[in-house]
Amino acid sequence: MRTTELKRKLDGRTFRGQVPCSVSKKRPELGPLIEWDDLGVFEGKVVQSIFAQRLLGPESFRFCRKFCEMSMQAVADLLQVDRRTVQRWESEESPVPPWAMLLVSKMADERSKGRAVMRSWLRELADEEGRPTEIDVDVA
Amino acid sequence: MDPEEALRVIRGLAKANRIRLTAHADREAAEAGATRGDIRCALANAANIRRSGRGRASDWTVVGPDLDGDDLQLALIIEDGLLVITVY
Repeated sequence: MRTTELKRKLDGRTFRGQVPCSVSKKRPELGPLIEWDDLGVFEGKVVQSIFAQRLLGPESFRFCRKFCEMSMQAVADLLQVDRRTVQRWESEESPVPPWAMLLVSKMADERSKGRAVMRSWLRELADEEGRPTEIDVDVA
Repeated sequence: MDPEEALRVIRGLAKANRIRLTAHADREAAEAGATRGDIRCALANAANIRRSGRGRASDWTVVGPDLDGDDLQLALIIEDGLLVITVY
């Protein structure tokens, strides 16, 4: 099977991977063509590495956010911060806090595996309504 | 195919994930910090289209919003029911 190398440079680290490719019979001059799903698998492996190795940085944060197909505003709402705060993290005006990096990379890692537990938790946490005011706890 | 029809076809194919990228376009997109999500978003919501010039490696140049609403320009061809992104 023919493959081509994909590369992403994030925060001074280079992520590399070989993905299958094809060549158009009608337009061979275009060179290797990458399937959409294979590109998704590659990006998924990148976010899995970011999460597994607990990498921290503005470009990695942005990559994970975008892997989740979230706008700055959407991630800001989920993390309960201002959109401008997210913008400052991503433009290196202020460092990405480890807690935000961890949550967003975890969301991306889960999404790459077809899960959304962290995203659901954060959505529930951001939603103040519908919370019980009296809770019985079982101490037996 | 006229530009209006091409735009409709492009949006539809993008929503169905019927997309391929040349390795060259992928490199350019990665250097600009654009992801798969940005490309799909721009294509699925493309607002402007024009024919690419003669002798170019693409038939159409489209502009649409990325995930943050910023304009993203892509050159592509439509081939066998697939969008082939040739230039970012």
